[in-house]
Amino acid sequence: MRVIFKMKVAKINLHKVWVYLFLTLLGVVMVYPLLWLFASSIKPNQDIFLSMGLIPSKVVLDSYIKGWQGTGQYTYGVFFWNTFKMVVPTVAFTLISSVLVAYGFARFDFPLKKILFTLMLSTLMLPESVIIIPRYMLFRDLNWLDSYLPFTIPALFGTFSFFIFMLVQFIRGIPRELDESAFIDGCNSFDILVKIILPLSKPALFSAGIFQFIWRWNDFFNVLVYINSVSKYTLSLALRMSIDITQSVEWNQIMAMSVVTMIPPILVFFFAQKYFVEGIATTGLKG
Amino acid sequence: MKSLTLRNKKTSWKRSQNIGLLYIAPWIIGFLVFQLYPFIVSLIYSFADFSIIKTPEFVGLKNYINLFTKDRLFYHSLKTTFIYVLIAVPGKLIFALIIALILNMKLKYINFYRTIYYMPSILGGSVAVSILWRFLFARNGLVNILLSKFSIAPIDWLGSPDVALYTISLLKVWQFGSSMVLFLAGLKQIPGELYEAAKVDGAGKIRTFFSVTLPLLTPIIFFNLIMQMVNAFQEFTSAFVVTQGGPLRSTYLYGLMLYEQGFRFLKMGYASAQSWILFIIIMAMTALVFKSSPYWTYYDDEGDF
Amino acid sequence: MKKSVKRIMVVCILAILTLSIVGGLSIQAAKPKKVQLRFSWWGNDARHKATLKAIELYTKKNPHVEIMAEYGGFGTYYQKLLTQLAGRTAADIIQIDYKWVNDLASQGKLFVDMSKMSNKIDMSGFDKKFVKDQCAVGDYILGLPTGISVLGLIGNDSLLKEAGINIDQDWDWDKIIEEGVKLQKFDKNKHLLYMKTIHYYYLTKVMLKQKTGTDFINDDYTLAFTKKDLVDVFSYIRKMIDLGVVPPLEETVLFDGGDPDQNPNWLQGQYAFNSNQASKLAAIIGASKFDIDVARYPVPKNAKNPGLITSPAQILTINKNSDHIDEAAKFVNWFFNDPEAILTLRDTRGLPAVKKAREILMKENLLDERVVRMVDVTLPFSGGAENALSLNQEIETIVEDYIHQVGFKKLTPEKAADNMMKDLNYKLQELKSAK
Repeated sequence: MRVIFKMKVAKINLHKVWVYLFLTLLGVVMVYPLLWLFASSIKPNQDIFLSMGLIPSKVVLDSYIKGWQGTGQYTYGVFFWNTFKMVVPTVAFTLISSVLVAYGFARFDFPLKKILFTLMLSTLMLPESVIIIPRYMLFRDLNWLDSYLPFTIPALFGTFSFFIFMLVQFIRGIPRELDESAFIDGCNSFDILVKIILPLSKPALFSAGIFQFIWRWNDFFNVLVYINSVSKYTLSLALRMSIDITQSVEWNQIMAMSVVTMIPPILVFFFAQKYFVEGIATTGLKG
Repeated sequence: MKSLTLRNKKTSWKRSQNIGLLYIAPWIIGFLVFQLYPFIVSLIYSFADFSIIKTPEFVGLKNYINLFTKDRLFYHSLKTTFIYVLIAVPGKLIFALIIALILNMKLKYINFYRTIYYMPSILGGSVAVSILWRFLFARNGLVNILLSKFSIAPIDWLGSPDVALYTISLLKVWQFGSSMVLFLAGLKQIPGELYEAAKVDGAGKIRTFFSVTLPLLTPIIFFNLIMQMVNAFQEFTSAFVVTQGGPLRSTYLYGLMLYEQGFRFLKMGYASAQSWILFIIIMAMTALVFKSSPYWTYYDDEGDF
Repeated sequence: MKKSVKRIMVVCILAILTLSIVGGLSIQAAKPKKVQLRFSWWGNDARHKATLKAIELYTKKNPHVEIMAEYGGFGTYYQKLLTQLAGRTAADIIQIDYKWVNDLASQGKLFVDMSKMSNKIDMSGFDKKFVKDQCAVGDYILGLPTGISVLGLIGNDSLLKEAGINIDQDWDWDKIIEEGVKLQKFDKNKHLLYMKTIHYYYLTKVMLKQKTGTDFINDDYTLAFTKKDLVDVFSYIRKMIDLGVVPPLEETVLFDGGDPDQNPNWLQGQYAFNSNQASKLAAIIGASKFDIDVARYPVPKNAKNPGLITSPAQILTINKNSDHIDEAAKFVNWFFNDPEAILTLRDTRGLPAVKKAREILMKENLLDERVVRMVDVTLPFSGGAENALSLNQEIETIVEDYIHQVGFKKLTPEKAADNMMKDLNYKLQELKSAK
């Protein structure tokens, strides 16, 4: 008995070793670009394009200090703060509105539902390039240009169909019997949303939050169009603000700031992931 | 007595369905205010000669006719885009699913690994990506150096018109993080009891995967498939920042074509017509997937969409 | 039931309230009496810093003026500018590229006609012909050139010396082949001339102009060259590739999005020359660890027109919709002519187009001798300004496509010439009928 047990343990461990080896090797491939990005940020500017290697001929750290200063008019501190001011409300508003709308679509059978749902999805299917101009006119007439309102307010009104569709899919995975028994227990539809759907959708909500955070954080084309003042630039604009094809570019500073810019999304992902993978209490689900 | 109240409640449950409209009200407002107008305007543009700055001039179906009969790149670009979608979307989904299954295991430092695997997706379309991608896939780049260790002759990953499209698709697969996260979240939503039941039934790992995991994951697979397809058809960034559509137009994706028409050649009316054609294609493809979904997706609510 | 309806209503009302509050905040408070100008440009850090410094100097002297700087990278500047012009929200002073002049001019009068501003802006320092050729359409002058840029050869002098190739030659196309073959014999891995796709296009245009004496497309929407001319050019390109004078396209096309300062092969000394604009010189000198020198672009002895490309580095315009055209003009005048402005801005916008500015910078030793020399050796061989059709972006993409067809050996020079002329004629008819 004992021997067999030991063998089994050994087998499991060996199996795990393979998994770790695989994960690590593939992980290197995944993360190599970031290592390179970091290495480039501490290389002298002349060396960045000279070779692909990770080890700098000379370590330069002032790329971080100089890069942070930007053009001297505004530091990256300003751009960080701007980005937070734009991203955090947008993410919060997106989650609130998307959950409500998704719940409506997933759990109720109202007239025109199919058509409305199709319309909702169809907004994702027309290329952005041709909507830019009319949307720009719309926000100009609303007097919202050069502010973050073109990002935050539409988010409040469920204009991110991706998340609505995504949450619909997850909510549909939650057994309906739970709603029905709660209803019988005297809960109204809003109580059901708050007491049953929301807790069970935690993984989906956290995934949505992470996605939206990172996508808005990296968003370039929309910010480019709506923001004029450098004082309101977000990080994605700031990172490209000094790249000119005909002139010399301080690449190591851009790389350094790219590294710094990525830290918040990485931290958000790292600390939020436990919610999207460990959020569900399995017992009582199929009761 | 008790059963009577129960029945009453059930009827009022049915009646309360219209309240759903109230829940989707924010979206209806948002749609009418922020989305409908740009949509309609771009549709109007597609029937006009519109150079962005001058007022549009109505030209009837001319843009559409030119597109189908005169444009030397339209069919080429469409074909390129379909190939791209056919490679990038399944590639990304399969890769994401496999990695999600592995990362779903109870391992030490798993949080760390998950973050590592998500990192390429955080990088997005940043400036660093284009530089890096060129470096990796240049004739004397890192990938070819590695291959030469196995005595494989260098390949012009981005320089050869026959290969570049596949390399660009690879970039998409590499940024598989969001699909992976959704799969992970979906996997965690599968009740543990089902696995236990399968175990009691004596199902092996592979059978459990196909009879429990996969069916319950189908709503998420369905979602990922739709969204990745919708995005891939409109892909713009990778072709724009890495290859500019070249070499020999081998990566001239549809999204790049209509951007060029609009913002380089100032033919926004024409670009709008191209967009509406793409819109119809994507709608049709999505409808196909939706129509097929009853045969392969499993929903707990047994509802239909 | 009722309770939930109420709650949803509350949520909706809250949402609308937030919307109106935040929306209300965005309506700006009444403007002070000061004049506010917006100035938009693209560039690198050095240009941004110098321009910001200049703005600071100007506003210190003119306290009633406030200048909002709106600057960014080049890549998507045009898209944003077009959007703003469409929305009539563009800045008061706008930097544009000379390649956009014709397209923008065809959209109506978006910019103040500089020919009518001579009482407000001192234009005596500009070369009148240069301005009229390069920054105007007919009599309408859209803006003023910040600097002069020319197309020339930028050489890795260390490699050239090593291979025994003299950079100071009267370069023509035969010599390029000759020295290219010599370099190949010296080292099989080295190539004489590195060009991006767009520089193959310039080469094509210049060679055709040298053969025919005129722009490659006539103002009447016809081609200005014969099939033989084009076959000659394509055969020349093919010959350069076959003999290794240029690196294979497979090796170079992926760097089309950057310049030699981002190309490891150039930086590792694999290429002897790069054909490029003078304005790119500083960046290449800064990135290369070897000696850099310059040479004139090839001109054959029997050329009907030397055909070399000269252009404004950028063009500064004043928005026609600006509320403060006079104040903007005052600033532009100061920007170009004031010695203090000149010493602050230096050559961050190319070799200055204003004569006085060049003299001041020369005297203070603030210009790179090579930039000045590159412009000086090229200007006598200038092919003059190109006409609108020869600068048309759609025409450019057609030519580049066929250069690739030849370069990747998918088509013979004859077949490519045939097809390209057919496509060009087709496009020209379309452009003509759209007029």
